[in-house]
Amino acid sequence: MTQPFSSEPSPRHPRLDAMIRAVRAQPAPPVTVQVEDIRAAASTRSSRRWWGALAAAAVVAVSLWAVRDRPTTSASLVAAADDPIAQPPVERVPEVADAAALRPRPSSSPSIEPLEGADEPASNEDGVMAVIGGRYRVQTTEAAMQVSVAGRVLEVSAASDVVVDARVEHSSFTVVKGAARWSKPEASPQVPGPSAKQLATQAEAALLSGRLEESVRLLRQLVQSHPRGPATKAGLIDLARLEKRLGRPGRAHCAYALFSKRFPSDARTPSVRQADQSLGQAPRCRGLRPVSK
Amino acid sequence: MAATLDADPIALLAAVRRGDAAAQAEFFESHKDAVARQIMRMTGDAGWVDDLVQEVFIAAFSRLGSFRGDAAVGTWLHRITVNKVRNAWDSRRRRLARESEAVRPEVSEHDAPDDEVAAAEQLRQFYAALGELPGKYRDAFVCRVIEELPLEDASAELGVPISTVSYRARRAEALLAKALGLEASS
Repeated sequence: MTQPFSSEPSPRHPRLDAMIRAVRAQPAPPVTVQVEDIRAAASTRSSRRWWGALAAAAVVAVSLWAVRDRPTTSASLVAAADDPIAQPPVERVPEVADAAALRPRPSSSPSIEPLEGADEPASNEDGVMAVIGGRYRVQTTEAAMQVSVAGRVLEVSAASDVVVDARVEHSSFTVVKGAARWSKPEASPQVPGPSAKQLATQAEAALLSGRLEESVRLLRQLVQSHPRGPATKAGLIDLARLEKRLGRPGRAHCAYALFSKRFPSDARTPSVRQADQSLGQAPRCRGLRPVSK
Repeated sequence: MAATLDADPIALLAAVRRGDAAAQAEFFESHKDAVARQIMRMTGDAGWVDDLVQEVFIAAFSRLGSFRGDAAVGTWLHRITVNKVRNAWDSRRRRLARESEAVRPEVSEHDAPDDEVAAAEQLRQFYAALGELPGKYRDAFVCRVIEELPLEDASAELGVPISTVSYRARRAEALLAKALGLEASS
């Protein structure tokens, strides 16, 4: 939720916001390079690559000739492959991602290893993000683990084959596109509630997928279960914007008012108050809900 | 004679591919300012612009044959520019590490951009902090926050899922705020 709605306070620090605006407002500098320079440089590089490739081919041929009667070794071929002339730098061309990520989250940290060429999972403080379509081996000290996809959580057992969004087979799972069946984890008194960051992430995922009411519910849960955390500050602002967007200015006012009450000295409070005033109504609030007078 | 961009962009691209000098010049003139603006926003350093513009168009001219036309030319150039700036950033980072000249930004909470000097200094500190971010976070931040790409486009550009782009951009903001001494504001 980094993109503020227009004329509303940003959840980021006002000074960082000001820097970003300054960055965006920088004028384009004059370009003095000429297309002739570019053509000349491209031509030079092209011929250098051609000669480099030719040289590499020669090195490979000589290496093969030299080792043809010896025990097989790939050392010279590896050397040729590492030769910067033989291998001109290849620019990474990003591919289009086709799905959301998946986050296994057992109570103990799992080790996740990509299999069969699956993408390396990205780590963050919430867990490990594996990529849909990829196959992974999971090593965990527990028989079961929680998997959350786009903010929804399901419990899967490593001991049985469960086909939902994640196909679990003993110590590995395959992320499958297209969920058909969901099950929620059973409430367990030993398991603590979701962290503020988890709730914020789930709320954002819900927002991204267009489930605005779900996002509101998660943000309210965040505000109520983690009243003073840093994620709650941004959460309150996001909640107010969402309520306004959903046509509930009274509730938006309550979220802004709660922000001002809880964080009176925060740098964002003046702009929050301004946004609150622009709503044009100020019902009495009990927490996040307006109460009738 | 090359086709003009206004008249027929496909014919112009075909002419550029064939190495037609007039078409290449028109292609360059049509896109150079947008590329320069993007480089400036990403680096904050006008001294990098000419070199990187040259690198971007060298890559574009030599790879136009592989341009499939499934995205706008501007998007394709944007992607090349992101890669070129990333490479330049990484080179500078390695050089600074070698020379032990890495600058750790220090900003007082009471600093205020009262005048142009202060504003320029804040931008310098911003870009120094941005340059220190891990590449994956920096890329996501640049695409989402600075370049204001929609999540879907940023996801396509960076080759990672939407949720990952979103997470990385937020993480980058948090790291930047911390590096700039802005995190404890309440």
